Amino acid sequence: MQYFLRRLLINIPVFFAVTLLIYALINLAPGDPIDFFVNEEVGISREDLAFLEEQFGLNDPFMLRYGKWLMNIFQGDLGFRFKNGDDVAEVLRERLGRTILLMGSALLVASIGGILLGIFIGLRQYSSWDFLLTTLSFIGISMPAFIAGIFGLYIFSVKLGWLPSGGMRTIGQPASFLDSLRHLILPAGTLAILQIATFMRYMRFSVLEVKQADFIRTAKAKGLYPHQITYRHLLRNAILPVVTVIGLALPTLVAGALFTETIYSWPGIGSLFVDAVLVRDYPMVMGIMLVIALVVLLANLITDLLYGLIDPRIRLE
Amino acid sequence: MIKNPALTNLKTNSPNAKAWQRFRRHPLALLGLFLFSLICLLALFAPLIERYEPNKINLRDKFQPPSAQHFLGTDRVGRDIWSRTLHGGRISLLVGFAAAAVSMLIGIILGGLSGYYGGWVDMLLMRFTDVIMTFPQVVIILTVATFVGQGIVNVILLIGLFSWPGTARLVRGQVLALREEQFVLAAQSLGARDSSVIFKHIMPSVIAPLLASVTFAINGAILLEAGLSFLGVGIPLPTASWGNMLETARSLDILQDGPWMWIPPALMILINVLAVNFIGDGLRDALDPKHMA
Repeated sequence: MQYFLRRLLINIPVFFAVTLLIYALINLAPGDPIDFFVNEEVGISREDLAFLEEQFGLNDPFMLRYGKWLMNIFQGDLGFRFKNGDDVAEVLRERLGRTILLMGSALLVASIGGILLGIFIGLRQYSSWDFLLTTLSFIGISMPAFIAGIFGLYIFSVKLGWLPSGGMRTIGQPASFLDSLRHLILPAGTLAILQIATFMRYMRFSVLEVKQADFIRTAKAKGLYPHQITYRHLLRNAILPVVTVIGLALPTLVAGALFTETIYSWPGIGSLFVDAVLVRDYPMVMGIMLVIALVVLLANLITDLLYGLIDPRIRLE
Repeated sequence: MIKNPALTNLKTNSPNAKAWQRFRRHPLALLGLFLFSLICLLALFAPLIERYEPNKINLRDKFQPPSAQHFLGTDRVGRDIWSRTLHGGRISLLVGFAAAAVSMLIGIILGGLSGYYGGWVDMLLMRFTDVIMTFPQVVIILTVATFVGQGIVNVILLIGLFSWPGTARLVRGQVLALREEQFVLAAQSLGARDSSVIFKHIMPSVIAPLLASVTFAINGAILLEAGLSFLGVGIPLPTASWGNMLETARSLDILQDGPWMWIPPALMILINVLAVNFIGDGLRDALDPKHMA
């Protein structure tokens, strides 16, 4: 219990530091939010400018402004977009689900595929399967999302015409599960490649390492059947460290989603972020950074807790 | 001359020679070394190999598929793709090496201080590292890049400035383990200053485990540059980089009808990253202290 509480408490100051970092970064940006209220043709008088600055509290000291911003966030008020005046929190709610769908499917496919393949070759070290998949995994970890995405789009959509080139569903057709699935395959596949390769490598390594553990020798000496040793003793212990790797893959996945969503025009928060950054829509940028930080911290926490749950030794540290 | 057997033995047993022997046994690592050297040479001697100026616009020859004159074809304004791929390599490698150097430097200093002093210095620096690591690097760099402006120097500094946490953690761990050693105590009792103990006495022992992570830092930087340029906030045109050449594939007509424009930079990024990964993997095995015996 103490372990779980400690993990939880460590994350709270980190979260506040993250919000401070976001606020400070955006504060470095040149220009002024007031600029968006000024009509270029009419212009603005010095007095009006001063009045607006006073009214919006732009002359307050940095920490006071940060404090006000933080208070608003805790009340769920993330401000309005510079670009079109939309409510940032509203837009985030609408888009976050789609990104979670994309990243979730990629992570699911990658962890199941990666773990199974890793076990498969881990049990057959130095076989030709091992050689082939290990070599392929090297290509996988060297393949950034923007290259996998461009090649995927070119081969499967432009050349072969098997899959749609972007969006979440075919326009002008009633929404159907199959149609959505067809739109999901390319972006999720693109996002999954890197992770499959990573998980497979870790899983293989872990299997090889546990194979040499003393308790495996003990199990053999007891005369257990090989399949009992493999499934009961070896794999259970070998999967443990891979759980951590899956949890820590989230930042990579978010970075990948930025490119994947942009390439396949997937309307999630990744493509939204790129768009918002390019037009300097700072409230939107801050909102998305906040969500990313929250999700990553949450994933770290869950990983820690899960690891403590399945491996009691960790809790004593 | 009579050879002293003990001496020849000594020579082959030096740790570096042994590490090289282990590295050589990795066929993929050797392949990586070969490919990476080849790419570096191509980039280095680009002005001698190229057949056209990389930034020369020639509207009469625009949008040409590969031919005898332009054997990788030309882009939308008639610039030679082969020349631009070579010159793009110069920029990508420059960014890779320079940004990796910046991030290594920051990581070594912060990791060294953190591991050596421990206590609240360590606590503060490591929480700061946690905060930076909460964000994927692209997210922070993209945000800052839009208001500090484009350009090679900015891209290098930004990548270096936000890529050090991994190195800092690695160095911290190593220093933490080494600071209790006798030779550190010896240096301290001789009155060496803290900075000299950390960087002159402890750091040399950290170099070996760090070497493999240098290769991954170079890869990370090359990929970040390509990614930023791909999104249009990295290296500004007309200077060619693999990333901004690949960016042309974002418009559907070029993706569809001009694959010769984006396949060369895409393959170069892929081969380069693959080669450096092979080298890094070989180095990690060769320099792993577990095999040092």
